[in-house]
Amino acid sequence: MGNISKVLLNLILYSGILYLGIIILSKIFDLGTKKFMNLNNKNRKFAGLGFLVLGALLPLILANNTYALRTSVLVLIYIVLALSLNFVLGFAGQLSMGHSAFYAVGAYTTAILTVTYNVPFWIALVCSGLVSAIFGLLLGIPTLRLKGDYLAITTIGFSEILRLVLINWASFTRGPAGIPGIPSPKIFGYTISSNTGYYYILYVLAILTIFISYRLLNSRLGRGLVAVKDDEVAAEAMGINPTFLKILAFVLGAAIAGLAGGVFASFIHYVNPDNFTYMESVVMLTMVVLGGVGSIPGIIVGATILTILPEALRGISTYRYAIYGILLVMMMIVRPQGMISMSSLKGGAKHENSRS
Amino acid sequence: MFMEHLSNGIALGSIYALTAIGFTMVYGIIRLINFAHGDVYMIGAFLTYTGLTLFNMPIALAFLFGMAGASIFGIAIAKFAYSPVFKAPKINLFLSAVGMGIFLENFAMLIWGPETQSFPTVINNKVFSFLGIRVNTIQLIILGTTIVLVAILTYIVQYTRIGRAMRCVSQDMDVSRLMGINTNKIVYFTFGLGSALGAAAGTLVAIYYKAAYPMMGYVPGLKAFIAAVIGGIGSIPGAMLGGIIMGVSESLGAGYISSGYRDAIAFIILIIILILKPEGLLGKGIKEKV
Amino acid sequence: MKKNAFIAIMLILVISLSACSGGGGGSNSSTELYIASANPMTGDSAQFGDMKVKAIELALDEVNKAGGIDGKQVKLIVGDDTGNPKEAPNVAQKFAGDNKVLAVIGHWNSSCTLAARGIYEAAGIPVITDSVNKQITDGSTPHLYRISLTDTTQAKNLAQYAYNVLGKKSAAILFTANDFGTGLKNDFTEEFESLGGKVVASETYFEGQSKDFSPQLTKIKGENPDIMFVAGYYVETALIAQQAGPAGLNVPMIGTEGISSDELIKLGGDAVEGIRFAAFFHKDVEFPGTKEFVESFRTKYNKEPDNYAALAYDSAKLILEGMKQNGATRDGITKYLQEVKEFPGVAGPISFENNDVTRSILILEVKDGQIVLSEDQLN
Repeated sequence: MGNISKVLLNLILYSGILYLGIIILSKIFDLGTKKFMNLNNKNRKFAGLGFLVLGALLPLILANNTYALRTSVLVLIYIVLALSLNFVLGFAGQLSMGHSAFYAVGAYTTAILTVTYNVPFWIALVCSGLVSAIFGLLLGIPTLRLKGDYLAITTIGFSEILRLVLINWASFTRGPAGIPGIPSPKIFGYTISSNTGYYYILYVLAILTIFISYRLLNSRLGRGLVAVKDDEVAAEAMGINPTFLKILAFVLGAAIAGLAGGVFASFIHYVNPDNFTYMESVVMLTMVVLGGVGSIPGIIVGATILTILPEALRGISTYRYAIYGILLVMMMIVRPQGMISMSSLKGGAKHENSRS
Repeated sequence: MFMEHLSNGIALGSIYALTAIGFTMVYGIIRLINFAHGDVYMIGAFLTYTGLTLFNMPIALAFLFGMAGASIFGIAIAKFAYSPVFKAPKINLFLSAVGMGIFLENFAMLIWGPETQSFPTVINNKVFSFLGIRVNTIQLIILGTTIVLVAILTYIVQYTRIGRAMRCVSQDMDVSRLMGINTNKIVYFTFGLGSALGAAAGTLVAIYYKAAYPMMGYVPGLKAFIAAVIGGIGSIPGAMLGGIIMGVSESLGAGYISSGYRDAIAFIILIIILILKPEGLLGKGIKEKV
Repeated sequence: MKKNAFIAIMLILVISLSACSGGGGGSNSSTELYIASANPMTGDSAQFGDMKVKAIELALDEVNKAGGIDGKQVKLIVGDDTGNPKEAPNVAQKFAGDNKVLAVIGHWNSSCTLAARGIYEAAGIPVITDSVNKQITDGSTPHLYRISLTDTTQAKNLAQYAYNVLGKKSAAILFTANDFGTGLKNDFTEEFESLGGKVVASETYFEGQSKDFSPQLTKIKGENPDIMFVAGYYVETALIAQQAGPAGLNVPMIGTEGISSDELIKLGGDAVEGIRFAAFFHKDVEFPGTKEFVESFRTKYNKEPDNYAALAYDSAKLILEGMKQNGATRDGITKYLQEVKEFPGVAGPISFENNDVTRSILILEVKDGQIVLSEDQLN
């Protein structure tokens, strides 16, 4: 209690820095988005290719900094996870707060298959995607009747129940001690165990996810999803089947989160129920909202910022999560539409202010 | 044995109910899942603790100090973290509440330290035993407080002028404003009252377990949410019913099924109720506007 | 213009990504040496990390006041793993990738040590941990040393104590649902039943979340055990002791080093009277330096050092001694830990065998609101 003035002073100082940071970043992203939107199609493709190459070269740039490289691997994992959540939240407009459950199912599938049953990593990884997809289907069907807050609490419930099963079903999941010794993947007889190797696996997975996202967004199905999100009753009247589309969004999101979980398990060689708490779902949700719901470049930015920030704040460890909390609140107030919002990508239309 | 599990469950349930009342009231008026409610509950307990240990207040005064302090916290949170986001999409409001919760937990950790503080013994706890049921003094106080608060709140919401305004705001904020209701005042009043209730719950729980610590609000916050949804969110008697149902089922579940799946029981009941009767046991159905 | 904006965005991306390397860099001044603590500083287990850091800083202060090592001051870098195995590898990578960090003390949670040990091993950085899971020293990580006894050893000793010394034939277990608690439960059950006793009930709870233990205690009461083994930490143990009486369960309780703290008495009051538990450290069991350690800890922090504080203090002293003898390098310290024999620690002499410390277990008891050495010891 004695240090109250010092704590308050520090918090005010950090809040000020955060506020400035958010304003500056917003300006930069606004400018960048505007410039990008003004490019013609050919130049846009050129710019996109530039980002791709930059991403591919990153491990070479960071070659002698293992910590930065490891952080980049985590950034990629969270980009994939946040994009997978975006299928549910951004495309179908369903507030799912239990996304870490699918991540957990994927990680445990790979862990159990490779460690207990000696299945090769790549087969286990595919199984991770499939098993998670099945869980997505199982969760998707009964929750279709629910909306908004009710769906949120049900999905929290689902992920908590799953976590309790992971803890209590010790004969299968090894309980709270977790499963150590998950092997590294082999490709053409060569074992991928370095951070660089995992970086490229995840890089491919991230690009695949981005590709699926764009394809879906620009397909008949995607337009259907957007229509359902904007006005379900009207969409149904137009002959769109919202039930099918919502389940599809859940299944796709779950499958991709499961794949990310599988790679994650192999990356840290150890899974434990504590990796997949409710906070993990909140983190993914925050990434999507901070980047801009539905906006793919926004979510990439959101996942990047929110993975790097806690790492950058390690130096002030006791203040770290207090600052994280302030950032969330401040971000929602100062920039509710996200860093790169969906509407800014559609040619700078006014921000939508409607409640969803 | 069954009677003991049952009485344990009712005692536990009254704690959930007490926490859920403030939560459900805020939800009823503003439609906000106040994820920071559990943390206001924690702040209330710590303020009472500070009143007792640092300022040597008598318990009644410290209790009021905790409630008043927490309602100031609650109003400040509403003013700075929630009201600027009211007009944004709902998920923003929701995440702002989550962020506030994270902040308060860590704020308390910075101020009072991360360790569990032993709460001074202020009530001489006696065990009463009859008909195979065991209850102690504090359990009776908690149950009594819950019932009294439910009665008072129901009176305020149903029969007073400000209560009518609260119900009005809960139905339609914009129209209420047009009707000449100072909606800001109502929102802050609701938060202040809800936070004071949270603080009362937090303090009683801290007295009961003789412990206060920064993460103490996290699980009760989630449980209060579930209790409120089971009972019908926004309904004050519903919160009480939901809390008791959860307490009893948890206690029986842990006693007869498995203590490892104890927390899952609450969620399973929640999911069943949401699928069968999404508006909760005592809630009113909300029709979707087309 | 277009190109400029494009380059600008790219630059931001690169800068923001490399920013995290800036955190690790900092000053490379050659007048200072660094060791690191990787423990929970926030979250449910923050209090334990806090104790450890306090003790390590005390050890460093003493050395620095005496002129440091080869005239260099030794500094502590504190990392926060939040007690979460997801965070632990990041902390580990940060320290492992930072060449100025010579040794690490931590992690407190077994799950964190298990998640992080591979990274330390790859970097060849010596680590001294006090987490207890037996898998930690399975031979795959020669740079990782454990200064406390494994859960298996503790549980076996406690089972023998309950059966042989206290003469109890039936036991109930109330364990925390993490690797620590489940490991203890399994090993205790195995040993107690092989001795001829019977474990009549095993109930669980969640550390940092469970506050109400009445269903578990009521169920245990129905099984009528002679003794209850609480496999968890002091906060919950204090609550369990308080709730056992009102639930009608009046049996002796035993616990592990996880409850060896004065906080147990502060939180539990009269209810924890008579609890016996395993520990590695007690201020009355004096080794060279014990008295001075307790005294200076008390003066500096106005607190009693606990088990974890004592072990962290000894860990720091070991590392400092390694620096003195073999030079301030990772390899030098590792070599020292490999060879050290009977190092005079405040919690008893330290030697490592297959990376595990060899030490004996003390049985402590709460008597008249004080933690004292129990009259009935093992053997």
